[in-house]
Amino acid sequence: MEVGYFVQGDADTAFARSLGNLVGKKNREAIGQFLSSRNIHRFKHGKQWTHPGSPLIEPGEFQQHSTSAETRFEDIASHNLSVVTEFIAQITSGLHAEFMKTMYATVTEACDRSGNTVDMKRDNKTLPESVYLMLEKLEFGVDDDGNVSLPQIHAHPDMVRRLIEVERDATPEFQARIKALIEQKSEDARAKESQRRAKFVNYGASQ
Amino acid sequence: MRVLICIGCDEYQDPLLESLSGAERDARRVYEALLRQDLGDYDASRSILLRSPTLAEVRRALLSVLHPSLGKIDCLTFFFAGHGNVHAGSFYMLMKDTAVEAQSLTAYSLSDLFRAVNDVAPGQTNLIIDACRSGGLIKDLGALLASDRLGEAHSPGVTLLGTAAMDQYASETSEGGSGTVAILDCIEGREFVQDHSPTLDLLEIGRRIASARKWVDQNPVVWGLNLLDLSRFCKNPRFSADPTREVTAVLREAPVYPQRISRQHYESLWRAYASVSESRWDAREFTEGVQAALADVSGGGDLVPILGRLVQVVAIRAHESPDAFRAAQARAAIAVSLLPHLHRSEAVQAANVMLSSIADDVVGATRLLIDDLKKDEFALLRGSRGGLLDLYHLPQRISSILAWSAAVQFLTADEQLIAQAEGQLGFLLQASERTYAGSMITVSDSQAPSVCVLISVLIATGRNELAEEILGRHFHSIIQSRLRIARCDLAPALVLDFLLAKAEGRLESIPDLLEQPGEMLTVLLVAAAILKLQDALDPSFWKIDRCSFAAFVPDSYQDFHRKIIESGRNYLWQVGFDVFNVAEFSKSWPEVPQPATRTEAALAVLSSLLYPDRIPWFALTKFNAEPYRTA
Repeated sequence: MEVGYFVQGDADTAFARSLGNLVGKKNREAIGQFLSSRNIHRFKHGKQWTHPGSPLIEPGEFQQHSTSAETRFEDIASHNLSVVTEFIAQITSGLHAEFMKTMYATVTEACDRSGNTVDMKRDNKTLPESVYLMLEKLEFGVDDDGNVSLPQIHAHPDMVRRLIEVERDATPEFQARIKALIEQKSEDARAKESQRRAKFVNYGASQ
Repeated sequence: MRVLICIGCDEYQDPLLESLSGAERDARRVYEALLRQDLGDYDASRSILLRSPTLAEVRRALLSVLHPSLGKIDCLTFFFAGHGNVHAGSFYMLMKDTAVEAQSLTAYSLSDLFRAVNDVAPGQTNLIIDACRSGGLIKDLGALLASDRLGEAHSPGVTLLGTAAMDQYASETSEGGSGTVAILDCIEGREFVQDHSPTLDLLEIGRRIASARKWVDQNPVVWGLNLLDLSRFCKNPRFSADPTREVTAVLREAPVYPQRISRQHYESLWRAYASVSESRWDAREFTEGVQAALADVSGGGDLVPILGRLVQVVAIRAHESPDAFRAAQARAAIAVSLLPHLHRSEAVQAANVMLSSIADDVVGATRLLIDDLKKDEFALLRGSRGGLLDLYHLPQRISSILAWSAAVQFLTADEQLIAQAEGQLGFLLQASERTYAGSMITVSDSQAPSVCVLISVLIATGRNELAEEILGRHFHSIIQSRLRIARCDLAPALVLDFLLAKAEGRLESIPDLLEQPGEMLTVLLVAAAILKLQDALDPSFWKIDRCSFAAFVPDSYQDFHRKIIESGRNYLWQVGFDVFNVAEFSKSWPEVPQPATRTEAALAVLSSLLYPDRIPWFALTKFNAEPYRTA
């Protein structure tokens, strides 16, 4: 057994736990930018999950995310406090990168499987037309208060610049088409939400 | 039968014999000490104390306690304090009417006593003489050795202790005869003799006082003859003083000790064992300590006997804890570790013994609680000293108490005990309703297994109305909080944050402290389907729109006690998308595997009560049809 000198007993376990909690919290905050907290689940056992009430939803399987960070003895010895924030940033960014990779891979796979993709090159479409087609394929959501929530767009910075140009350079006719489409989609979303709520017994009634 | 004869002689009629001042006191002290149940446990009805008796009184007394018609004597102890003398080849105990010039006719000789011992043949005989020249008892050994029984199996053993050598005087102090004081120090635990045996024998006491004290012109002598059996002169007050003794004994007696149980493992076991009597005890930490200690012991064959012995010593220690249910929990923590070994008949046997003991523990603890509640309706709060913290813990405490009481149905086939437990459960439910109705709610998902077990037993025993009442209370509380309940492993340091958020109506601001998805709602919906309460619950479903709930269903129960159960599946529902009412949920409820045996079912139930992040779904879906009882 390796010998230490004036070792700190259980303090290292407590410190590791608080560090883990902090990293966990930051990780959840980062994930929360993409997912509602309602969609972040914690399972205590097993390796899979399934929705027996919605058989069309594919079962999921846990994937392990891991990352690592190093701290040099020299930095500790020289009391370099910046290593604390660097360490936390390294771990959280590593985990975040893993999450993003998994999230995009999952969404891509789901879209490919369902055919919810728009391929500019294959279909020989311009960017504005592709944007329209993309919106056409989407279903808008409705939040707890009945407000329609528009989709988020995730894109590479270059693509974001191009999309901003599309919006800036859009003709009035194209703007009107997009607006009409969004209104229709919102109307569809509200109707669907209404049908969904109707499946409950007396939705909104106080007892 | 343990017989004690104590004689103390202070008064002497012969002017040549100086009166003494402490002999009667010495005899009385020895008599009183050895009659104590916790020290000597001699039979008071057949023991006698004589103060300054005449020789005739001595003979009559001996006849009255030693007559064979009175029954066999397992252990005879004879104590004399007074004047002693070696005369004409024998040692004499001088009585009140002894004449110095005619000792052989007027004193009581040890030879006479030995002949009586030979005749009566007690299982063991202890003779203590605190008198001058008492080492001279060796002169009379011939009478003892003349017995034609010595050497036979189970023939009597004799231990003799004289407090002074044959040529020495026995000294006195203000406390009494030096020899008697030294002996009493050993009997009453002030002097350490040994701690590995529950009893002391006179031989080891004699050796101890001879070596430990600084004697001046006085040397005790001790003889042991024909010591075939374990001598039980008195109980050993130091036997339980060594806190590691019981654990050491478990490991010492283990078939594989010491080869595979290293010192490090021993310390893990000791820490686990020691924790059982502490106010703070964690079942998982305890189990991990035990598992770490026994990691190198091969499963089943070697492990089962060790666990069988360990559970006994742990339960004894648990009774020292401030929690009346600790013994049940500690036994359960060991019992559930037998889950992977139930293919071995000895493991099943050991488990059933433990389950039966756990049922006894639960009924005993519940009896204690009921007595307390009858005296003080707030007994559940006064004992805990939690204060505001009990706003969080009390609902969980109530759930646990009701669940463990209900679980007796699973643990034993003893109809009387089951009936007792049912009666207790009925009382507790009424008492809870009367005083703690507002706390019969869900605050934490850790209550889910308890509520599952309680409701399943209520249904199985035909108490549907009570089951509905329990279900209704918990369902109402989770609807009110919009399914925002504490995670089952909420750290103690975060409980205040949770309570404040709940009090201020902002539970949505603390998602990290909440269980998502939880299993409490799942329990209630499964029960609601069985009790046909759809119409009562469905109108409230919309209030938990978009909330998720889950059920983890294991593939089997052999690992149901482990910290993480790897084999199994998580079933997930989202209200408003997967299900809208009880009927839809019921249709999508998966097949739940049944435990292979009643023993496995009982251990699985205990696992869920100890480690409340897993639910014994089979209890709800199967138990109410065919109650599980241990074989």
